[in-house]
Amino acid sequence: MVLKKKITILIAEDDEDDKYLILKAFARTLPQNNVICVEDGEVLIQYLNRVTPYDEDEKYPVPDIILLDLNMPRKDGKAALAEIKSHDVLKKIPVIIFTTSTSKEDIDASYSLGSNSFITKPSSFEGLLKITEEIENYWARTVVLPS
Amino acid sequence: MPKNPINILYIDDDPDDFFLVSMLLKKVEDSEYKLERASSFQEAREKLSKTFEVFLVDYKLGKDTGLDLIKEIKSKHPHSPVIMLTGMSNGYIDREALTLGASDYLVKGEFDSKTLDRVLRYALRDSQIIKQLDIAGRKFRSIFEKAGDPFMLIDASGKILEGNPVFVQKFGADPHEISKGSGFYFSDFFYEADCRMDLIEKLDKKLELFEFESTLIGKEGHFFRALVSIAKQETDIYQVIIKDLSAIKNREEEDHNLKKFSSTGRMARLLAHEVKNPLTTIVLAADQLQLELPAEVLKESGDLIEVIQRNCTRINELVTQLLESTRFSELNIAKYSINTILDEALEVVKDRIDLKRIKLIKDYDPEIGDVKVDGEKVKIALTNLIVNAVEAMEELIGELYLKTYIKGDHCKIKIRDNGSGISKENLERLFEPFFTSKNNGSGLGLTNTQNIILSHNGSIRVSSKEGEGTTFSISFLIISDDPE
Amino acid sequence: MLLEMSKKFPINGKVFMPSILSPSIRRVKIYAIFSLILILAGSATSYWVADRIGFYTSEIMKAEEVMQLTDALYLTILERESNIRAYIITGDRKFLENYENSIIEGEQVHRSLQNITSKNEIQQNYLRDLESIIRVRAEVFEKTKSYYMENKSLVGFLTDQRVNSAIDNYQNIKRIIMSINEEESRTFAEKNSGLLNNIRALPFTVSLISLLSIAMGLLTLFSVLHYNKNQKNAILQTQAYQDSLQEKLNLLDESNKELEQFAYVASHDLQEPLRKITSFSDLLIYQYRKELKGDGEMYLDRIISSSNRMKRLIIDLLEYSRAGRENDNSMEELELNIVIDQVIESLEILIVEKNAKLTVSDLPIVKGSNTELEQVFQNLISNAIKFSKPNKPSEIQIDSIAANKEIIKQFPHLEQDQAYHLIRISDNGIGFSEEYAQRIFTIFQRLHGKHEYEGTGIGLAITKRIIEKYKGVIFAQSKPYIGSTFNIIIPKIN
Repeated sequence: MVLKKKITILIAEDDEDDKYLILKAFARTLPQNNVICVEDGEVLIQYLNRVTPYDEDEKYPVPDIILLDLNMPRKDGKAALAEIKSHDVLKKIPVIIFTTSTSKEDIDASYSLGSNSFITKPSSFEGLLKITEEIENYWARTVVLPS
Repeated sequence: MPKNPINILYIDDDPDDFFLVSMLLKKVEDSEYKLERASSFQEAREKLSKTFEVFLVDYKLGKDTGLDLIKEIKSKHPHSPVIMLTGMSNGYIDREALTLGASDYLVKGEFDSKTLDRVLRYALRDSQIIKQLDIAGRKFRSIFEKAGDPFMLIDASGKILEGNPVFVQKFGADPHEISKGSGFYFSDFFYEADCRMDLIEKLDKKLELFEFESTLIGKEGHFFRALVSIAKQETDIYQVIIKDLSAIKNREEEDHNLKKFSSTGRMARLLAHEVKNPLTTIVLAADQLQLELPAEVLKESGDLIEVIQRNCTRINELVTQLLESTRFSELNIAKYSINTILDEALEVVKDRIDLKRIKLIKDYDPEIGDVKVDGEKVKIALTNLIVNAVEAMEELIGELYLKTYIKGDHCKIKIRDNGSGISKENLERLFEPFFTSKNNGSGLGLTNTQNIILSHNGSIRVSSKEGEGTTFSISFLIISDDPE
Repeated sequence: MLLEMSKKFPINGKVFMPSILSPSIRRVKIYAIFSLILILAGSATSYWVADRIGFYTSEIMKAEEVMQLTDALYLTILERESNIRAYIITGDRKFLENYENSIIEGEQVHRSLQNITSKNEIQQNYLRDLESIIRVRAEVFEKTKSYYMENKSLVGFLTDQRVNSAIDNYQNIKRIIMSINEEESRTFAEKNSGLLNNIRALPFTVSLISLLSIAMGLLTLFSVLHYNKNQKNAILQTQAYQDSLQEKLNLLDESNKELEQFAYVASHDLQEPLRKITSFSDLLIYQYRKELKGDGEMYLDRIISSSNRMKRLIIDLLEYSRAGRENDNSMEELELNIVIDQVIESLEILIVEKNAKLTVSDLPIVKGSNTELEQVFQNLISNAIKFSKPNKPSEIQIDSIAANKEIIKQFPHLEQDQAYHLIRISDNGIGFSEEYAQRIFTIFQRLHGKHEYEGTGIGLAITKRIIEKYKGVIFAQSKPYIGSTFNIIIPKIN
């Protein structure tokens, strides 16, 4: 019997309001420590590479999945995605693009660069709740994650 | 001859002479001469502040001579003739008097009342003529000076004799400052050599009138394309007007841009209008919510409401930005009196008004004050309205009523015509781009007008009744004087 | 906006351009016909005159012949006389034969004379008189002959009376023959003068007619040249006209592009903050529904519904801007019936709810993009259902016919040589006044208050944009309280 551990999600989102909403939505099912937010692609890469101050495992655990917004300052989602998916170790982590964009180009580009899924941010909180629930369900229970 | 009394100041230190002259004048039938005496230079000087039509000056005035007095009179009354009286005929005095501006001179004892009357009359007439000439000369001089385009006089060899201020400014050269002996030639300002030859050829041909396009060299070597018009004023003097075509091209471009802006502008305004409603509802509801929620709830949820409010503001900002992006980014704002701009607009349409014998009724508020607007653009906006009004009216019975007045802190303009009026359907679409009821209209005139007025945050409204006429009401915010 | 264009260039059978062509060519035709008539007249006259000349000439020749014949006749009479005399004197039978011959000859000549002068009554009378006298003489000759043959001499036969009557008859014959000749001369002179007149007249008439013909010919030539010039002018004018139209269309095109751009930017930028508003209002309700007493929930509902309204507006705006774009969707040949089936399926809930009845006839295959055509029909059908009469379920008919020339002419910017379908969507709804028929297609235009019927006022604008992109036209007809018909003219696939 495998203990179902709660997964850890790392979210890269620059918009304060969206961050608030997402954290609120995940708070229903995940403990606060399991959901970490960084503000742009640059910090995300630093975090993943365990650059100080992100080398503390307790405070900044390695995530099970990454939620990545596309439009961010400094390093944007596509660039970060490309870097992650070309890194030997990091490319194992499933990356879900979570963005407002609906354009075909963005969708195609994301999958080409190796994203595992592409989800469009909903405009209602109910919708957001449903999505976070599904994400957790899918990636924590349905799917088997790498070690 | 005027039937008004003719006031004469007679300056003579000899009272007998004065008596004589006044007697002679009384004998003259049919005219009213009023004689006043000054017995010295000093007294004359004092009296110069009054109005006199003619001056009689005695040559021998004690220690000063009449000649000095003439100088003084002429400086104060340049158009009133001065007639010298002298005891003896002396070529020197004669010439001096002439040089100083005396109209005539009489030798005492050698004239009677008839002669005196005649001399006075002719002197008065002559000065009238000279006065008119002076006025005309001044008028033309002012046209010359004030012309907006470079204007100059050249001789048959192309040498520049005169240039107006705009010419000096544009070409950086003043014909009066050229040292005597040398001159500068119009052909020097032509960039292309064959244009120079062409000009000289044409001048040689002594043509009456010709014009051509060429590239000219202005101040500091700046080139511009211009239309040169040359007209013969008299043998050996030609008038030259230069029209800068680049300015015209710029204006055309601007016009073109103006046209482009209209449909997006309308879209922006419609969007803003559509968005405003629901946005207001949201803002109000959010505000009410804030007020109504119990304190504990508000503590936790207050942030959320703030997010909502913040984003409403953002939407408002965006829409305002969009609106402004479709308006004119470049307004040359300056202070203008609306009456002046309105008059300038009338000037543009003057020919058509005169042709149709339209009666013009101006009801301006003289205390209208200034508004901060882009004068040129507002002029265009008003011109469009006036042109429309004139075109809607019939010859001879058309009446154009223009009113400016202040209401509150707004400066308002009313333009009313008694033309054919606008139907209800057309009225609703009046400002739409490309909407026109005329066969050759572009449909953009009123759209531009509305655009211009709205970019100044002014307002324009129209009311009309078919068969009776149309009224446009425009208002601008009056600038408040800065409290300083 | 293209309908504005058709207002500027109205075409109720009359084009704005002045028609300078018709009178010109008519004139040319008239001149040409006149020239032809004149030439014909000239030819006819010449022919007639020539004929007259021929006639007169033959008459003149006839007169000559008559005179010759009368001479011959006289000769035969003389011969008869002399032959009888000779016979009587010599008794030689030869002279009797000659006498017989000259009778025969005389008769022949007489007959010829009669024939030739058959038209002249006077001559005929003379000839008859002559004939009777000759007969008398012939009788006498016979008597003389038989008396002589009997008695071998004329003694007792030649009485004075006989001699006198012979002389009389002889003189009469001479007289008649002279009269005949005179008469013939007279007619000869007449005919001659007639001939001369005609000959004199001929050059004159011929020149006159030639001159007139030449003149008409020249006129015709000039009018042809004039017509040509007018043609050229008309072409130039048309060209200038077209140029100015093109310029205006370019301007329209430019501002359309800018409009699109603007709509895209506007809608895109506005979506973000709107999303935040809806999400957070949602969150508020979710978290604090219980605590919100009374009005609180109502306010939130209001916020959400207004946000949704704005969202729809902005999405519609985005749609509108996309509808004008060229590239996005691929154009293919689609069966409209299938498209409409898809639309009906997606509108199922609404259709059932409003108990709407749709009748769709056979529709053609058109070129377009599936998404866009769906948008068009979705919009039109949902409008038809939406604006149904309150207590009458909506009945909608969709059919298609070939667009006839009159309708195509009403829209001058359509290719006049292209064939078009006319697809009609008719309903029995509340309708609208025809004066708004064009306005409803303007963006953001609604005919009713926001509270009466929902809608952003962009739907029809988008529909129109799409149809116009397909180089077609959409226009509406309606009668208040009766119903509306939306007509789409769309090009036939070749």
